[in-house]
Amino acid sequence: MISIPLLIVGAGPAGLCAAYRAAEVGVDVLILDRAQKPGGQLVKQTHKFFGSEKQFASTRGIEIADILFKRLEDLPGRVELLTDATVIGFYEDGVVTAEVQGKFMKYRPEACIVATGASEKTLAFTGNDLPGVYGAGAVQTLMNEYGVRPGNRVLMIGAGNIGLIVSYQLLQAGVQVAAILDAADEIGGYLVHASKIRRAGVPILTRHTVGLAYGDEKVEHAIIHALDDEWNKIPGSEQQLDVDVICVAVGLSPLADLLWQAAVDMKYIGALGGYVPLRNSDMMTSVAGLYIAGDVAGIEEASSAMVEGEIAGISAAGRLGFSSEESHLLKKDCLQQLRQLRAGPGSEKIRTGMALAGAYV
Amino acid sequence: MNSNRILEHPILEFSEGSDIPFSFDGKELVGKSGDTIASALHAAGVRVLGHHFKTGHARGFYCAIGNCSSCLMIVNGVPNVRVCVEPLKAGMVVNSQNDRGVLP
Amino acid sequence: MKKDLLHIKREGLATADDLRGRLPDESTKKEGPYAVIECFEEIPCNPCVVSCRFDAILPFEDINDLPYVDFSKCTGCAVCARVCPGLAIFIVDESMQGEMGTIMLPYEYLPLPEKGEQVMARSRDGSELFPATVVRVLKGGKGKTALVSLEVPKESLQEVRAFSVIEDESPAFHSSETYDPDYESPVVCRCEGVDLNEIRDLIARGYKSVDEIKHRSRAGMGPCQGRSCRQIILNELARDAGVSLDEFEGGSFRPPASPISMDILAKGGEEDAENS
Repeated sequence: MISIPLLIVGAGPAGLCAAYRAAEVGVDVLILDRAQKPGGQLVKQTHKFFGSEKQFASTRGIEIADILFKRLEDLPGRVELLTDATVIGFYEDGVVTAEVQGKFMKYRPEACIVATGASEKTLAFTGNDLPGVYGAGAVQTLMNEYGVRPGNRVLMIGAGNIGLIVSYQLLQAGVQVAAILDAADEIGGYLVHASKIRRAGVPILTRHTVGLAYGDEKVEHAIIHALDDEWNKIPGSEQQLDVDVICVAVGLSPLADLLWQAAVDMKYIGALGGYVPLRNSDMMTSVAGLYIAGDVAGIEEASSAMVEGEIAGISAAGRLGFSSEESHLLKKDCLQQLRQLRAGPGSEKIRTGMALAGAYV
Repeated sequence: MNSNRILEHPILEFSEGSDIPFSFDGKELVGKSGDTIASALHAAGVRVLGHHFKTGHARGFYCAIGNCSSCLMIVNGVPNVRVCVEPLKAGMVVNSQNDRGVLP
Repeated sequence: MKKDLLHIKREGLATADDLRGRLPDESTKKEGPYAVIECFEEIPCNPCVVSCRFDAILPFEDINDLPYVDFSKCTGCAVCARVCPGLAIFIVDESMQGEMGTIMLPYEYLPLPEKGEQVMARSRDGSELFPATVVRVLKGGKGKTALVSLEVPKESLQEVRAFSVIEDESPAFHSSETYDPDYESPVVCRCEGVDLNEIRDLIARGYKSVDEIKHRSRAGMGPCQGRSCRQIILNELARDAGVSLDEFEGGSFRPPASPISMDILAKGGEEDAENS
């Protein structure tokens, strides 16, 4: 058993920002991440971020991953970041178990920040397990991390920000996008993303969904159809498309397995993507010393994940006895940033959801 | 040969990478340094990674980040390897998995 | 003022109506290039206003404010067009004599056209307008967003919003292949191969929680630990009961959250001896 002051699970935008703020005031931090390199999903975000300068607006996600990682050097607290390190257990007595580079390890952290992100939701349609039906994150990973085209012609399911952004990235990689479908009656993602896709000639069909996928052991065709106001299939509206990839971008769920294991109070809040941990304005859960940040705390943009990470880092450091006048001011500023990021008319559901989850809104 | 590889990109730069030879169901294939087993197979045009032990359906990866376990294969005789997050190494012997996995 | 966005949210397309208040008056148009900002939705984003050296974008009170150009100050320098994460800023110049003006478009595709090249000018919905000549190319540099200027008849300057490098026709997507309607149920649990019919059948037979369905069908017991199937099962339960999802328990979660080999688990004690 290894005793450590602060364990952060996940080296994505939230985890890296949490580590920075905690180490800045002198806390030694251990970050564990299951991937081979840090950055979480930032490493495949080739688009420029929205937000303000504080959240690296107009910088591409891939570059932000680098910035967040490099600024962890030479801080008062030592930051140790281990990749290929998957946390697999969180016990009610505070013990955390992990597979770290092929070894089974046990840790007893005084405080812990869970920043595990999210997993992709799936969609039930006939043929949904055919090879070629891929999650949007998988398509991004394959293209932007490994430089491999997922296919030649893609049908995108979901017109939220992920569906729109991944469609754009597919076009940039030289892959055709047949159409973007969404069962909702309006485009869920940012309009500027949608307009960018439309300019490239890709249709966005709202009130449409995929009925089935078929082909010889892989996706070759998709049948799509329109939906009425009751979400029922409109007879005769079927269209068949020749595509070799169906990309599913129907949303994310918080990846909260560890929090369930730790017996944190959870609540189902649809606007935040599913079951989320209840928290206070310090980003602490119902278990003392256990903090959360980023998508695991509710599905949002990476910009708010970074700010939540900072708050969790400052709060956890404070609990360990490391705080300063500046860190109090910084936390206030972060809370203000979050409020601004969530202030727009499009964030109304997020605001309601966050209030239900106990967040400062 | 690797026609699925992106050679030019308006935003990203992909380094050439060195060739990594491996085998898949007895066929000799070549991946690139930095690949996972799944990315190397996909680049080589392989989408079917095995068949489901209950439904018999062909299986491919779904999440590509180690969440969903749809991509289990037998690697160097060891079953149930999530090939979407397993780095490719030279000489790996990769086989389709069609059952729950048998201990080596 | 926030306009009714519904039509744009359905189509992703701005109309001439949306452009009202976004364009300079006729006399200002003749004075030099200007920025057209097609940003109609209040989202938290401010690089354009921060980047403008001429304070030509009206200051924001809130980061969600919409950008409006003060055309008396805008020089058409295109700095905002380079930094806009939404690629929603276009630089129009109709100050020259004659029939033709120019429009500068942000561009993040390959190949980048060259000066003098003919490209296909396209509208907001990507439809072909007419061939146009590239008159200027600013490479992306560090930010990687290139800016490409096309020479366009003045009356079309507010129509052209994209272009494509002229290439061979791509094949149509619609196919004539016919599907043999041998119905199969969608897969819910990818790990254990449990389909939607099985889940619905269990619910009809009185299994009313995620855990009950898991124990009976194995859905959620595979290596992914329910990450793929839990949400669909919850949806089915809620629909059957006619209540909202928050009335259901999420099910039980136990270590390991990810698969670990027995070999690694069994050797785990070694670290204890070294560190305790």
